[in-house]
Amino acid sequence: MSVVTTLRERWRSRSRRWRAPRTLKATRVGRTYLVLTVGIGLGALNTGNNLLYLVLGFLLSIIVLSGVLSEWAIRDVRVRRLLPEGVYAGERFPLRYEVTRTDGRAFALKLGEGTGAIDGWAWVPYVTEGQPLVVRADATASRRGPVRLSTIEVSTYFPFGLFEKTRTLEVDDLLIVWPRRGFTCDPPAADGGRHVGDLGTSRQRDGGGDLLGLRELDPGEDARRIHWAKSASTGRLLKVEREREDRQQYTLSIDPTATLGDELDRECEETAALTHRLLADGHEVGLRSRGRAIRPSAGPGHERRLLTALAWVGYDDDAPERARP
Amino acid sequence: MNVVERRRLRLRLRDLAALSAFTAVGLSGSVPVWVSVLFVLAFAISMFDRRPLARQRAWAVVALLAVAVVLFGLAFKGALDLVVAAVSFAALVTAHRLVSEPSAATDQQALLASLLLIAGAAALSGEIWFAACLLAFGVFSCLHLGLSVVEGPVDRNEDLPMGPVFRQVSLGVGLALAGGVAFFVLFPRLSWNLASRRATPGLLGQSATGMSDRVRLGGGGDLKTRARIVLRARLQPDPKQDELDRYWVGRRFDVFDGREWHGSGVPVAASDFVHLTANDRRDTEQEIEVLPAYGARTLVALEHPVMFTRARATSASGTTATQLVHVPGEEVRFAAEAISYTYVAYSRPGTWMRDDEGERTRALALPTIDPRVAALAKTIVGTETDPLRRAHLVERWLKTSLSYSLELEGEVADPLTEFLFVRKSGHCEHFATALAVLLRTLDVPARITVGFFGGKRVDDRYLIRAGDAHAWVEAWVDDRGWVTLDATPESGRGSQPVALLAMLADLGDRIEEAWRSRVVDYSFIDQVQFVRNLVRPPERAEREGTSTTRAPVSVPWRGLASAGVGLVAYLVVRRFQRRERLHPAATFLARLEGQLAQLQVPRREGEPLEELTRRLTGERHPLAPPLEQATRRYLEARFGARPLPEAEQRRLLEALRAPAQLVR
Amino acid sequence: MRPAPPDLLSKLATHLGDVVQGKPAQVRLALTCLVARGHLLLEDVPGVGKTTLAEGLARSFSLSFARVQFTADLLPSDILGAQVFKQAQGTFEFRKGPIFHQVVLADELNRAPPRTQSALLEAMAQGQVSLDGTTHDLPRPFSVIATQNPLDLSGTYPLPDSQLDRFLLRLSLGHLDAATEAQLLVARRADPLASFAPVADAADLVFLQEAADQVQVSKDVADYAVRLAAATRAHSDIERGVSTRAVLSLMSAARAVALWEGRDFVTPGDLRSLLVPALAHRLLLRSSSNGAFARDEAGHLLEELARQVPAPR
Repeated sequence: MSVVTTLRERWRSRSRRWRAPRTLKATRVGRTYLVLTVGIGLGALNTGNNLLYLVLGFLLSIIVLSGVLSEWAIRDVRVRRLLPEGVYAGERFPLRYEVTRTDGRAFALKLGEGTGAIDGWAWVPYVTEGQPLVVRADATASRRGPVRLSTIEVSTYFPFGLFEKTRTLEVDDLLIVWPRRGFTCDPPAADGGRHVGDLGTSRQRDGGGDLLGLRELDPGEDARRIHWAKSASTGRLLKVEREREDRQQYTLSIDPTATLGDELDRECEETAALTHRLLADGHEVGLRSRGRAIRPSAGPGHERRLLTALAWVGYDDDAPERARP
Repeated sequence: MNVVERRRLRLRLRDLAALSAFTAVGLSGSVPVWVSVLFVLAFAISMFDRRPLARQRAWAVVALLAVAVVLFGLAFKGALDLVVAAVSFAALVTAHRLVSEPSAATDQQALLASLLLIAGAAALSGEIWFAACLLAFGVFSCLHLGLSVVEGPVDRNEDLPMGPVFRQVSLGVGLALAGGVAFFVLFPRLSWNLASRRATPGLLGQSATGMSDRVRLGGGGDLKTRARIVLRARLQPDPKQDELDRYWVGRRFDVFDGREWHGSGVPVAASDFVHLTANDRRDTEQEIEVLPAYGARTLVALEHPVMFTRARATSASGTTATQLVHVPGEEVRFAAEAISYTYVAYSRPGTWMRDDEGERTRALALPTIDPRVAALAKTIVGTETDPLRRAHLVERWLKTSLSYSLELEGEVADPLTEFLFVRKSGHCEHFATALAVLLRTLDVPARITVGFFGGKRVDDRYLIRAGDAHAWVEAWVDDRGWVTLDATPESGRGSQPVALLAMLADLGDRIEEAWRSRVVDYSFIDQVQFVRNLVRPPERAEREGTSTTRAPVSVPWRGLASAGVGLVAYLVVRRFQRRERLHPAATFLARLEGQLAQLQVPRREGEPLEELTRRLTGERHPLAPPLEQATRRYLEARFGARPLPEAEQRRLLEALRAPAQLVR
Repeated sequence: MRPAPPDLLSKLATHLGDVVQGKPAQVRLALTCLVARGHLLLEDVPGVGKTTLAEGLARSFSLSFARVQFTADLLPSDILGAQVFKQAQGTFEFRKGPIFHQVVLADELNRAPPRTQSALLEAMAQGQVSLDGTTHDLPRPFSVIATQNPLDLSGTYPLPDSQLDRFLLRLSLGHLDAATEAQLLVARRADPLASFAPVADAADLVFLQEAADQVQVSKDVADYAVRLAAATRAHSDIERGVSTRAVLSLMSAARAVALWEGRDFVTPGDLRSLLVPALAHRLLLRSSSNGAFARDEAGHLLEELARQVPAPR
């Protein structure tokens, strides 16, 4: 019984391997080639000319060989994605693949995503066993949102460029596509002369907020702000600068009624642009959307957190399986 | 190899593929000359990397359309064969693509048009060089396509390791060729209509034998050195001799005017078969194929023909049955002009008994000749009176006293006396004429016969070359009939190919014979035979046994040929690998890397020497210590300005060899 | 009698390997950086042994060592030193800051405000400190090892690109592989550095630095470096390629690498091995103008370029 089960298992796994999804498509030259082959074949059958049979034999064997050699090329290929943390929608980004050959070598592979949400492909001229190769696709994601990348299409024109054989590999990854940028016009600046960090005006840094740095006490300044420990060690009067309260905290929110679609995308883009501007002005920005909240904070890392959150707006409640194709 | 070099290599391969395809049609001789000139011109321009038509796209298309209209108009009017017109157009399209701006699409179009040329050539000719062109076209075009595919859709500056690419693509090409042969062998021949047009005489195929309607003395005998095969014959019963020593009778001449012989027969009405005498069972049956190189219409059969039948003629429009015209006492010829023929002949060995008063009388007629000739005849025979013995005496005298020579330049007024008394050397026609005339002065009826002598067995057929052409004498002896006499010394009888070329010609015969019997005439019956052999292996093994005994003949040639091909390939690769400026240490690197490859040191593709050395050291490979030394010295010489003398190079390479032997 | 450079270097590497386990390549590069008189930038999450590496480097050469924790309230004078009024004498006296050590570990450099950062970096570049009109020379040999948290932690001041250029090499230690980590847990002693004895001295380091100066660069190798640099400038994805200073520092690091194998000349392989640590942090990528995916991208691009630019052979 167990033997039968094992055999069945083995058969099943083998048949699964053999029935690995492949698609074969004739290229433009391949189509012309097929037409010529049929023509020469008809000529050979019609006249019985052995030389035409000979030519036909070569033509047919090249077709068969294309199938076999291209199978050799795309078999035993393993591909891994090297994804960036997030990408902006509508902008070209480098999508990298690490290609490994488990056996033998392969030429002329083309790698692309199975999903339509990402376009762009990478070219592998040559990869050999044991030497992983990282290749880059100049990809573009068309729309905002988490994109579930589940399949990689490995195709090849090898050996003669007559057919394109494609094999679909199942590799799961999640790519976060941030809202488009540079799309929204900046609103007019509310107030000129605002800067972040040391170069800001004293007005901005005279508050009661977080510690920002130390500065020598100017004549006539409030003595309560003197940092006594530091002043003693340096022999000069040093004043603690704290962030002013007008370094404000913003919490942006997304309209919870907007439905998934262009309208919501547009809103997310505007929010992202506003976030970027506010952060650049030195404010702290938080986000509230559909039951998800991010506390106001600052810094480049925080901006990316916000962008990621904006990317997820509208997809939050989706299970990964139902993520947009 | 960088991008520019790879691109140049691809274009060269494309051009060569196109040239091979065009050669296949060009050699059939049917393409108009101006098309050939245009194509060769385009090829030459392309080889110099000039693309004059890159800008003039519209004009080129208009010109091509105009040419198409002209060509197909000619074909419509019947002035040009339709296939030839199509092929010419394809050739012009290919030529246009060669001198246009190269791109992936242009290259592919050039190759597809070349493929049409190849198909056209298959329809137009069946000579062995078609196989060579097909092979070359397949190899070049597959290499080009493979390289283009590896290059990819965009130009990249990356260095590609060409070794593995070539290896893989060549493997592909080899498999494609093998697969093509397999398809050819096994693809069922559904059609019984054998309409192969292996019928054009070809550029090389202009009439090669001197089987004309008269024999004119004088001139040289360059015929004897020609190796073109003119006839193929299968004999039944099979004499099983490697070199046949029998006469093939073609045409008899009985009227001599002092300078040339001609026939006197009057043709009778054409018929499907010709009986020369009653048939009987002891006859030798011959299936004879007349190749385009034969260039005449006279039927040939072994001595002495008794019947001709089942004649078929192959012309440009196909193969049809043809009728035969009998010219009694002279020849049997095909009624229709065609390019090649097949027929069946029956012959009876021995003497020819048919007695005809008229024939005998004509065989005694003499023109006015130098009296010294009759005197010479008298001297030779002396007191002998028996006609047969007299004939043999004259024959022996000629054989021994005069010498055979092909170098006879210039026209002379009286070739016979010139031959007998001045030069004392000549070729078979001189000997035959002298014998016939001498016998006639002795009142022995004699006439000359033109045909072939010999035949070389290849597989189960006898091949007769243009050089086997011969002339000899038949003399009438009462009670014996027409007796064959041959005064030509043995050395001058068969063909006399130049000695050095003899082996080459032999190999060529075998290949050509194999091509004709295994490829051009391959049929459903052969397929059945093949499958039967597969099913019954013992017989096949036996066949292989016989073929291996024959193989050694061609081994040296095969070796030479492959060495030549290897040399050419090496030179091509060298040319493309040559760098602009070589550092002196680079030669050491090349030698070192060559030796590493020879020692089969496992090396990754594109792995620099330093990394290889580091890796081997890490793996504690036995070769690591000497390799480390060599690498270090190379780096010092290359980048550290410490020269590496030749002696040290040798020492370093030598040091690498010793542990390698230990490993083995 | 001083041992030959390769022996000395491998001895140091083995020695350092005892405290920084499982990172031979990084240890090698860190030593190379020191020998090339360069400053080292370590970019990593906390807790992977950055400090141990820095202190180990200093100790194995028995160099003086100081560690400065960079915080938001750190002042330039906290690093450089300040004039102090001595009441007893009634005079000002310059009190040296921690930068007056031979190896300075600037921990979490990106937490300090830019003014403080630039004070340090200027001192690094000039090898001296100018305060109130007087110039104080820093000790020789002098190297700064700065550590930086990856940028996605909030509340940091990323180093400006011009400042990044002052670091010869940028390394990332990364996490240990599982086997080494397990071994570390088993054999963990109280403090690996506590029992760490020097195996060389400052004179040895100077000797190595001078040996590196003697290393020759042939014209072909120089061409190769120039072609690599030109390729970064011509690349469509790179906003700003490497500067001439970057090529110079790449070559000085390559000179130091050549010492490991006892060579007195630089090979193309040396350059290739240093391409990513020496140049990746100096590239400004087009896609990263917002700082989005800079990290490995520059390294990938450089590796691609190394494949494309043919090396002399």
